[in-house]
This record gives sequence, structure tokens and C-alpha cells, in this order.
Amino acid sequence: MAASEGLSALNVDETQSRSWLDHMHDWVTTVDHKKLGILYIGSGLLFFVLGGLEASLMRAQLAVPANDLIDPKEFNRLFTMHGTTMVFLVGMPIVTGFGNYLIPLLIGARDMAFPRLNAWGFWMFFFGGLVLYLSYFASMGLYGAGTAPDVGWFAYSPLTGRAFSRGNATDYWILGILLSGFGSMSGAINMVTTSITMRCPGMTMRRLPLFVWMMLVVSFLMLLALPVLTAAQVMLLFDRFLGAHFFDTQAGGDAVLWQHFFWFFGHPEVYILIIPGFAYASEIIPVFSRKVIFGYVTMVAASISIGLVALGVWAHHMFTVGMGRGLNIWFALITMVVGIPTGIKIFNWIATMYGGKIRFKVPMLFSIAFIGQFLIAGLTGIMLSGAPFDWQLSDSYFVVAHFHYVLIGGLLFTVFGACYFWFPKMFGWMMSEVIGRWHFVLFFIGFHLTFTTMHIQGLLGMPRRIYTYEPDRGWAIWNAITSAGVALQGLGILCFFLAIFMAFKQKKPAGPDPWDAWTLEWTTSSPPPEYNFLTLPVVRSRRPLWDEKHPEDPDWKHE
Amino acid sequence: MSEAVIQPMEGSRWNRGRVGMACLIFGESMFFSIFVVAYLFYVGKSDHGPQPAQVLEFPYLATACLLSSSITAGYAVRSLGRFEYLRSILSLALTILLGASFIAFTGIEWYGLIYEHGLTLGTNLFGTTFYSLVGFHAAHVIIGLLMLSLIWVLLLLKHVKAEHAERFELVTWYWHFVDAVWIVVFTVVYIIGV
Amino acid sequence: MTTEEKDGMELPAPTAAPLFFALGLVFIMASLVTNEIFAFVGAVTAVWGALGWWREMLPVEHKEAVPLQALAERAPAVKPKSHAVEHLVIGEEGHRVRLPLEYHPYAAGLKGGFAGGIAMAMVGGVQGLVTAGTPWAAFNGFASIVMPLFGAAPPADMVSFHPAIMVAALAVHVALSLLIGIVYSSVLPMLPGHPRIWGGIVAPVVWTAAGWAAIGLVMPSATSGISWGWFIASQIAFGLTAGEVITRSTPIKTLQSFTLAGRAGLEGTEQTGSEEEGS
Repeated sequence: MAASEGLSALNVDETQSRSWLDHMHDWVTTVDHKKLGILYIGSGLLFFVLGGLEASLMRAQLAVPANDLIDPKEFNRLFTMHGTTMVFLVGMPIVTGFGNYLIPLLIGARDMAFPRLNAWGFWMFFFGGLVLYLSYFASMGLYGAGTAPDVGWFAYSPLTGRAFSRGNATDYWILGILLSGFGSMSGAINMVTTSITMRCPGMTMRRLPLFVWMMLVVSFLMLLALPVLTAAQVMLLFDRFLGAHFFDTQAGGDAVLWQHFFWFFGHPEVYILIIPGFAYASEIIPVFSRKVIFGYVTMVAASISIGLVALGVWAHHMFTVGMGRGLNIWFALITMVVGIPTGIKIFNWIATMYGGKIRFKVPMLFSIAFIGQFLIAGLTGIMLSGAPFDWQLSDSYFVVAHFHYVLIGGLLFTVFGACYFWFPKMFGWMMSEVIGRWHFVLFFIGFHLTFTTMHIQGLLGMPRRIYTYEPDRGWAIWNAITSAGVALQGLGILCFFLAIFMAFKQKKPAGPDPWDAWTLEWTTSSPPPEYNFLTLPVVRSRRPLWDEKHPEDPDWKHE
Repeated sequence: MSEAVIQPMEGSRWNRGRVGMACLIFGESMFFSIFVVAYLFYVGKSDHGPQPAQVLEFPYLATACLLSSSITAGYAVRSLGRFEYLRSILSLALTILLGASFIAFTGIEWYGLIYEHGLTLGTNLFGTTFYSLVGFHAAHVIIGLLMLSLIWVLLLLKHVKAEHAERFELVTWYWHFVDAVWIVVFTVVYIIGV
Repeated sequence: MTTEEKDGMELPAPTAAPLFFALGLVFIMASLVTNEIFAFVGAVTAVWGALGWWREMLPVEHKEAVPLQALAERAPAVKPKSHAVEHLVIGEEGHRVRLPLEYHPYAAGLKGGFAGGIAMAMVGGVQGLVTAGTPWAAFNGFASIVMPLFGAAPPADMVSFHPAIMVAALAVHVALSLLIGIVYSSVLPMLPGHPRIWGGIVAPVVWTAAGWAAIGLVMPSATSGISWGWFIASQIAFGLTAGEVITRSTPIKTLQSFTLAGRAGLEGTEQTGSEEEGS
């Protein structure tokens, strides 16, 4: 924290070899959006491995009926930690990380609007995540009833009250999410402010890359939904520590109120997770179809509509709670309505590919799989939006299959695509196409073995969150296939990490523009200098690089 | 679709500070709205313990203090922008005094509620929702007072000058927001809920 | 465009203050579940971090000069491609996209749907007269599909006039007729061949076949009541009428048949020039 002017001691002599302590110092004190983006994504991947281990243990337990690999209390902790980790400690940081890294580069800026706030946000997220995992070690309480939280990732009342959750396990859940939530909120403030006020000359809102538009919608949803969760969690903390009665049914409080609050946050949350996936697809698919995105304005309008309509659908997670006919009908209808703009986007991606010259590189493979899988996920969602259908299948494996299809088949596939697409920019080395294809094939087959099959278990009536099941239910074969798929997914993810490792080892230079793309980040070196652009670019269209590469037919003649 | 004119982005009214503060205020509004919803949801549902009509009196003085402090805060910013340092210092001091009085009145009210009427956070649903909603508002007032006091000290030390008026204005935006929240709070607690 | 070659580019200086502030806040909150001592440690750390952060921002933002990239490492300027962009002409061999050169206004679809609806209703009335002696039988049958409770009523009800039922049936009929009319006006011009064949014959046959196949699944109680011959007749009546109205409406040319000047918005030059692939 030295307050020296001029060249700081760190940068004086670049040719001197720097110890790993110097590098650590760089990363720990950085306020640069690129480093913070990489820190976010890296931490997200670290927690991804932990969440994946939790899932693997669960699937090992469920692979055969009447198994006793994991006892029921541990199983409760596993599904709670798996869900909480994946949503809050993997999904949120990865989307924040890509947003942080790319938005200034895409709009021709040198950094985000509030660099130190950015750094604060990352460390809040990271330490918050550590607090959550501290629970495994530190929260032994009454009757050993501590250790990791076991109340489910949405922590329904009154189970989470002091009377029913002894020890500190639930408090760790609250604190871990509360603290890491501040990271996302500061990221959102940064992304909105940067996108609105720091665009390079010529970049009107109508020329903003779709990635930035969608991150604007995501940030709006974050600013709207995360404080709601914070408030509800503070209420729960008051209940547990100060004797308040917000959700205390024994004192007249209403447990369903928690559900309303949580899902008013929770539904926008899942859109916060998936819309960045749309953003990655909207950047990758045009480049690998060699065509401009179909219907730019419609894509923007659809994204905004999704963001707004998604605010009204939350109680479709609560059809079984008994809200009454009127509310059930409203939420069923509005949930169906939100499928319309989403469907428009799917049509637009397909229309972008139609008539294009498709290059089946690894990012494109993941994006094409995303389109089909997300479509299926959306359809099962629309099925579930019919309240009577949901009454049969709520809290069954059908719902689990649906949301994993969205989050893995939708979000994770596009995240992998984004990693292969932007890794060369971030680090300057190409990732191996061969290993990437192995990653894709193994993960694709594993994903479908697991989650396509899972719909069947759900339809056959298997509830979620059970730690075992009887052999005569007819579920055994489907569970076995589901669990087998996990092995292939694991192998696929190993390939992913291998590809990253080999990229750093083989050091195949990527150059500034390995994919022949069209947005501003591809004008910088790979990796970009800390200041991004030597001179701030001036743009005249949505594809500034296309204009420079094809001066005889620039985009601004047609936009 | 003419794009011949290239617009520079600087010089817009909505600079980084304003957009950032607007986002923060938006997020905080959502935070408060959940406590408001909880309060309204539980109105009339406490089946024992003190009830609002029995123990609450409309906080005329406190409200007057807080709302007028917004006016003085605005005046302080405008004075600073016009290089009228003395007026700025005086009106900012008045703002802080009025804000502190609001907190004092709230404290007095709470003292009475706790010791005379026996109403605490854990007494009944009214107590739970009242203290959390009014309490979080008061906490935000205190944070605002801290920021305003800091600026006041720096003004006295001549570290804050007219060119900082824009940054000072952002803090007053926060202060106006806290006032607006109070309007919602007293409507919900002292008018609707009684 | 000004370059900023100085001693380096000014960027916000790195600092660990936000980290300490975050750590402090986390310690304070973690003291709730660990030990009170963390609250003190956290408070000290948070204040330290906050003060450090304050000093980074005020009175002036602490910046440092980052040295510019070595010339060898900088990205070269973007080179124009050696090949030029090829422009497609509509109808050119291998051009796979089939866009309508002209389309019909929505108003035509609404009128077509309305007219088709009248034609269909007339067929329905004739069906009622022929099969049951009153014109209302077919309308009641239609209403019973959307209101199954009514469909369970005794047969005498099915042939008499019920005002409320008629209103319900009329509402659904008008809504669907107008909607399908708009769909026809949008879709028909895009299909090759003649709209009258598509709208008048093919669509009704396909629609009836799909309904016949699916009705057993969707609404088993209704299967016995529908006479498929009259059904197809009513659909064809709708299709032919709507198709006729739509085809007779004045088509509007799409933008791609305009000249470049026309597309750019210059008045008086919209007429079809060389057909260039547009935006």
C-alpha cells in the first residue's frame, strides 16, 4: 500500500527474473480487470472440482440400491454443499470472471469503472467461499451436529430455525453466501457502470457487442435479486441469533415467506447463470459460422424481455406449497411466456448458422451442443410450468434432470466453449484441438448418459434428496446408468485440465486473432498489455475488425 | 442509420460516479423492500405482546429533522460548487446535527418501547419486523452521517474544495435515498400498520 | 487519434487494501460462528484496509505508470484481407436462402381470417341443418370441445340454442380465425407454388389429419362427436376463402428488391433496380 508516484518498483526492470513471491504479490494486489477475471474463473474452477467430487460421491452412493457407502446425514451435507457450491461458488464467479475480463476489451476501455471495488468483490467472494468450506472442519457443535450445512441449497424454513438446525452448520451456509454475494453485487455495479460510461468513441448502444448487452441484463438482475437474498438471510440470522420470528412457525411466523423471498431471488439467479451462456454463444457462433449474428436487435430485445419477465415467475418453484388457484395459474402462464423470448434466441442462433460456412472447432462443438441441449432443457421447463404436471414431478429427479440440463447442458457447455475460445487471448497459447475434442466427446456422452436418463427416474417417481432406494422400485438400472455417466464426465473434465496444462507446456503461440474474429479484443496482443489498447479505438459498426479486414464492404454500409 | 458522427462518451451527465451510486441505491432499495414486505405481511398477525396502535406515536420531530436535513445537504453541495465554503460548512454541520437528532429521537423511542412496553426483537412478530426495518434504516442513516462528518472535517481542513463538489453530490444522493426510505418506512409503520 | 507515448500508461495502482478490507469483514462475520476474538481482529483489519483504500482514492487517485509493451510484442495493425467479399444475387445458382420478394400485409390476414371464419361458420350451420335439423348443432359441438362439461349434457341440449354457449364458441372461433388468418398471410407467400393450393387444400388436409390422429390422446370423449367429412369441408371452406382474400391483397415488396439508394432511404428511388442482396 505504498503511496509512491511514478514507476513503481515492480515494473522497473522487466528483464530481471522475478521470483514467485513477486508474482504472488502481483496477483494479490492486482486491481486489473484481466487478472481479477482470471482469478474469478480460476477460483470458480477450483470450487467446480470440489462440487464435482461431492456429486460423484452422491452418485456412487446411488449407483446401486440399498447402498451404505454414505450415511444419510452425510448425504444431506453432500447435496447441500454440492448445490450451494455449484450455484454460488462456481457459476457466479465464472460469469463474473468472464464479464470482468472481456467487457473492457469489448468496448475499447482500459479497465473497469471501479478497479479497487472489483478487487474487493473478488476477495469477498473468495473468502466467503472459504468460510463455507471451513464448515467441514470448524463447525462441530452440539452433539457433533455441526459440520457442513445439510439443509439443502435453498435452506427452507422452519428446518433452518435454531430449534431444528442445531450447531452452526446453517450459519456457515448463511455467512458463506452472504459474504460471497457482495462480490457479485460489486461486480454488477462495475459492469453496469463500465458498459454505460466507458465505451470507446463511436460505440453507441446499438453497436455494443451482444456479450456486453447480455451482461448488462445479468447485472441488472444481480442488483435486483442478490440484495433480496441478503435481506432474507439477514432475517434468518436474526431468527437464529437474536430470537426474531421472521420464519419461526412456533411464534406465528410463516415458513412459506422464506420460500417466496428465496425464490424471488432464486429464479432471477438461474437467469443470471444462464444468460452469460447466451452471451458466449452469441459471440462464438457467428465467428465459427462466418456470418453476422441473425437479428441483433431482436436478440437484445429478447434478452431484456427475459430479464424482465423472469422477475415474475418465481413461485413456479412453489406449486406444491398450496398457493391457491389464482397464483398457480398466474405463475404457470407467466413461466410459459418467458419461454417465448428464449425461443426467439434459439431461432436466431440457428438462423445464424444457416447458410454459413461452419468451422467445427472445439468452441463451436460446445456451442452447437448447447443449442440442442438448452432447447430440451427449456422444453422440460415448460412441461414443469404446467402446475398439475409439476404437482406430480416436483422434487423428483425430473426436476433435477431439468435444471442440470440447463446448467450443465446449457451453461457449462458454453463456459467450456468460452474457455477454449478466449484462453488463447488470455494467455497467448492455443489449446490443443485434439484434446479438446476428446474433452467434448467424453463429456457429451457422459452428460447424456447421466442426465437424459435421469428424466426417466423422475418420471418413475424417484424423489430427490433421498440417500438410497429399495431394489424393487425399478429405479436401479436407470440409477446405474446415471452414475456410470459421471465417470465419463470426469474423464472429460480431466481432458479439459490436461488441455490447459499442455497449452502452457507446449506454448503454441496464438497471435492476436487466432479465430479470425471481429470484435475489439482481437486487436490486442495475446495476452493483452495491462492497458489493453495503446490508443483507444474508434468504431463505426458492430464488427470493427470486419470493417478493417474488408474495407471494400464494411458493416456500417449495411447496419 | 447514419453513423457519420462519432460521439465521444465523456462529458455525459451520467459519469461513473453517478451510475455507480445509482446502481448502489437500486440494490439497497431492493434490500429494504424485502423488510417492508415482511412488515406488511405480518401487520396485525401478532397474537400477543404490544401492538402498534398501543405503543407507537407518529415521529413528527424525527421526521421533520431528517427530511429537512436533505434540504440542507443539497444546499451544502450547491454552495460548495459556488466556492461558498463558509455556507457549505455551516449547512453541512446543520445536516449532520439534524441527522444526529433523528438518531437521538429514534433512540429515545426505542428506549421507551423496550423498557416501558417490553417490546423487543423477539417479543412478537411486530417487534421482529419493526426493529429490523427501522433498525436497518437507522443503520443506513448512521453510515450516511459518518460519511457526511468525514466530508465536513475535510472541508474544515480545506482538503475538500469546489472541484470535489461532484463527488460530494454523490454522498448527498445517498442521503436523499435514506430520506426517501424513511418516507416509505414511516408510511408503512406509523400510518398503514397502525 | 492521439497516442499516449509517455513514460508509460497511467493505470490505477495495485493495492492490497481491498483485500484487507474484505478479510476484515469476513473475520467479523465469521466471529459469529467461531470465536469473538475474530470480531476484534476483523475490525482492526477492516479499518486498516478501509484506511488504505481511502488513501488510494483521496485526495487524488493513486495511479502508476505501466511501461508500454515492447514493439516486438505489440499486435500488428489489422491487415485488410487479400480477397474481396463476394455479393450474392437472388436466384443465383447455389443460393440456398429463399426469401419472399414480397409479402402480404397483416390486414389482409385479418380480413382473410374473418372471411374464412364466416365461410366456415356457414358450413357448420349447413352441417347442423343436414344432420340434426337445427343450425346450432355444429356450433354446440364445437363448444363442447372447449367446454367438456357442456359436452356431457343430454343430446337434446346439443341441438337447441344456448346464448351463453354461443358466445363462448363465437369468441374462440373469432380469435382462432383471425390468428390463423395472420399465420396464413405471413407464411403462404414464402412457400413455393400457389397460395390457394397451400391454404385451400394442403393445410386443411394436414390439419385435419393431425387432429384426427391426436384427438384420441388429447380428448377421448370428443372422438365420437366429430364427423370428419364435415370437419374437412369446413376447414377447406376457411382455407379457400382466406387464401383467396389474401392472394387478392396488394403485396408489399421487401427491402431487398429496392435499389441501394432506395434502401438508404432516399425518396423516390425505391423501385426495383438490380436485385442486390441486402443487409
